[in-house]
Amino acid sequence: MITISNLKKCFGEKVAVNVKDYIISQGTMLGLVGNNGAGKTTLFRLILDLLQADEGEVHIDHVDVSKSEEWKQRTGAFIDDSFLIDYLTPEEYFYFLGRVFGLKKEEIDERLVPFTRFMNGEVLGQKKLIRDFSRGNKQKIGIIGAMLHRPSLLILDEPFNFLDPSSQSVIKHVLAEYNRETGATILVSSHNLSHTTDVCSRIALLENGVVIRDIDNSEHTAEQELESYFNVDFAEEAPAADTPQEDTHATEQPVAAEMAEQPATEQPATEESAE
Amino acid sequence: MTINKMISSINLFRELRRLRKIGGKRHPMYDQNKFAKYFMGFAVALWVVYLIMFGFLFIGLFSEIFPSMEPYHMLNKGMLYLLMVDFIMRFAMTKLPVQEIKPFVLLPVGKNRVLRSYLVMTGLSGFNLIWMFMLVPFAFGTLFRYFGFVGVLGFLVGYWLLMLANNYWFLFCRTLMNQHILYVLVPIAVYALLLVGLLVPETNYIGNFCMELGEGFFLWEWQAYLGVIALVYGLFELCHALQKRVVYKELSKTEVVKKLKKVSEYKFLDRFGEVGEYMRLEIKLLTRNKVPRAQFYMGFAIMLMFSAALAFTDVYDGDFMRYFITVYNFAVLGVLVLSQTMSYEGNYLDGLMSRKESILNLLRAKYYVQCALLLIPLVIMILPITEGKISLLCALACFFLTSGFTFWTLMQLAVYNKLTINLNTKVTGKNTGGTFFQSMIIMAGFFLPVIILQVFTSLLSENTALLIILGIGLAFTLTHPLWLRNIYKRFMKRRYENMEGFRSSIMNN
Repeated sequence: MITISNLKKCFGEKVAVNVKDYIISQGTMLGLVGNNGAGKTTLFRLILDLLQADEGEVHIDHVDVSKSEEWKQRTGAFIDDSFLIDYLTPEEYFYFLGRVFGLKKEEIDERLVPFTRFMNGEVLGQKKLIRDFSRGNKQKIGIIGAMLHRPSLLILDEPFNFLDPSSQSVIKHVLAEYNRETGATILVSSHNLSHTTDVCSRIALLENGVVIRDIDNSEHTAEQELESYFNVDFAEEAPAADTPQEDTHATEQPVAAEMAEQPATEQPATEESAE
Repeated sequence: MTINKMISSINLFRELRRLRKIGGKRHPMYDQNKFAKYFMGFAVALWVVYLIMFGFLFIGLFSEIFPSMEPYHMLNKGMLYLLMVDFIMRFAMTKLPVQEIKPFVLLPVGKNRVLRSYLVMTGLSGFNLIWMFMLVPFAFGTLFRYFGFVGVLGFLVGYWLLMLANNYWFLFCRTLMNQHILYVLVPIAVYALLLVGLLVPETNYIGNFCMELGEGFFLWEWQAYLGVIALVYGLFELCHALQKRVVYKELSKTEVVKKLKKVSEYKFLDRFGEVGEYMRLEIKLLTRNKVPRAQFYMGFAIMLMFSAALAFTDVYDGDFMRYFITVYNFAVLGVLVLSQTMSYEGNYLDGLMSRKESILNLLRAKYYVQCALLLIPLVIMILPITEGKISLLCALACFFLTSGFTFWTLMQLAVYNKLTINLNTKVTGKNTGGTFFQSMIIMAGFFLPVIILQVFTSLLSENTALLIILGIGLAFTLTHPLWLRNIYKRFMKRRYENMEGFRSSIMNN
């Protein structure tokens, strides 16, 4: 379980994260969505104690992440390339991680088997250093590395980035299966609303560091709500600059109608909501 | 070049200089550097005093040894020695400037002009003027009375041009050596040839030529200036051509990805458990990445060279130099690697930080690998030991002083380093600025053991002094678990600040 209390992080004047109280219970698959600069990666870094919070705390299983390192044994994460030791081969990297977590070589080999389809024959046995792999394959190596020790908390920042469509589909399946099998809490951030809503039972929408909506997606109904939030209506803006005034008025009508017709699935800002 | 082009080149140069200055001020280690700069400033001030002193000293010395010749003729005759010393000093005191060309690649700015601007910047560096502290008093003391102020000025301008040529010659060699350490043979071969030319008395054409060149300077002979300006220009162009090739190679990453022939597992490290894993990582860090590998080879070459010099020549027979070389031989590999502790790891620090106590194990691993590497200089030291230049006790005392005191000193940098060093890019990239703080710790790592040795050996008999030093070294070595944990705890206290620094300085490979 992750408990966030009065968490605040500013970069100069800009408030990057400002989450009052937020609880993610064990086994939840939470999707974190928001525009660029909304604070998704910063929130992940704060949860992982890679950044110092200006205020507030994060607890993983009742352990303050900034005071102890115990939670690290149960946590797996991949945020970006700075998690990869790129002068190792993928095998060496996996063995390194596995051994650090007390696994034997055979166990590591065994744990790599479920990822065979995900690796698509392009990762193992290549005799290449990680730095010589494509961005997509590096992404795969990072994700597998984060999952290798079967953490009870898995944090992945933009896991679908750089992956080909097939691999995106496979990783969705892998994550859902992992969650079902192990009961692990999985936090995923993504700009891909479709993928996020496909796998996550709960969606947190971030704006300027604040969780403005906490959406229950157990019935897979969140996508429409998110679409309405993210869709920028160009029809509303373009005529002002390019077309005469009367045309603007003409185009505004349907938009207004469309807005009115939107289903009221939104919940109020649920920063303080808890499961 | 048209007037417009010239103006835009000057503007570009000014803009790049401004960017570099801003880069320096926003450097993650700016505060530490600022602090260290005061100390370095003090060291430079001392060096300046020495140079001024040499300037006056040479006047009397040359008049006494060569009464039939004017001192300025003698200095001119030995100008190549001066240039060689300058060349060697540049290795210790300057860094290969990076070509921050990436941000300009897609801009409508001539890439050649960017490269040239950076090269011009190095030419205008204050380092090229440092010898003036020696040459100005020397010129006023010897030339002024015969040739007046104009002669002195000509002499100084000429020497500044020579330093400029040396600057580009150094950059050329340094860029080559960064590509492969074997290119160190290029300057060695050139200087060997020049030395032969200088030292063979009957055919001392080179010495005489230098003397005439120097005379040409203070007599304002246009041929002398033209020749040196042509040399500066030639070396500038040579340097430019080489850097251009290297920069484009790095930018386009044209190197074919080589498949590893054999993936080494270093199975013997399995017995050390988790620390063994990190030791494996450390070995691979040193062997699979260009920058640490080049440093390692360079340290090894220097070590071999000094050991041979200590064993087979009388050059380093004085007590201070003998101790210094012995300490240096043991410390050099550690200094090159440990002074960058965490800076290499900055490339993947987030990954390490998300694992429990990984930094402590990493520090332990680094320490053990460096201790194991100390066996190399110990073996090499057999040469001077068998030649009777140093005692076995001295070698052992220095061994443990290095594994204890020197490594303890250097590993303090793990707490303060917060600048990611790219493991493979060399010429292109961002300007990482000077790390004066590191230089200060490195100097402490090198000189404090020598000072300790000197103090004890001057107060006590050599054997007693060496036994005490051995004791100090052993005490530091045996207590390494304590001080490594202390470093780890201090690192963890500063972790947020350091991680921010590493993150902001990380470069895209």
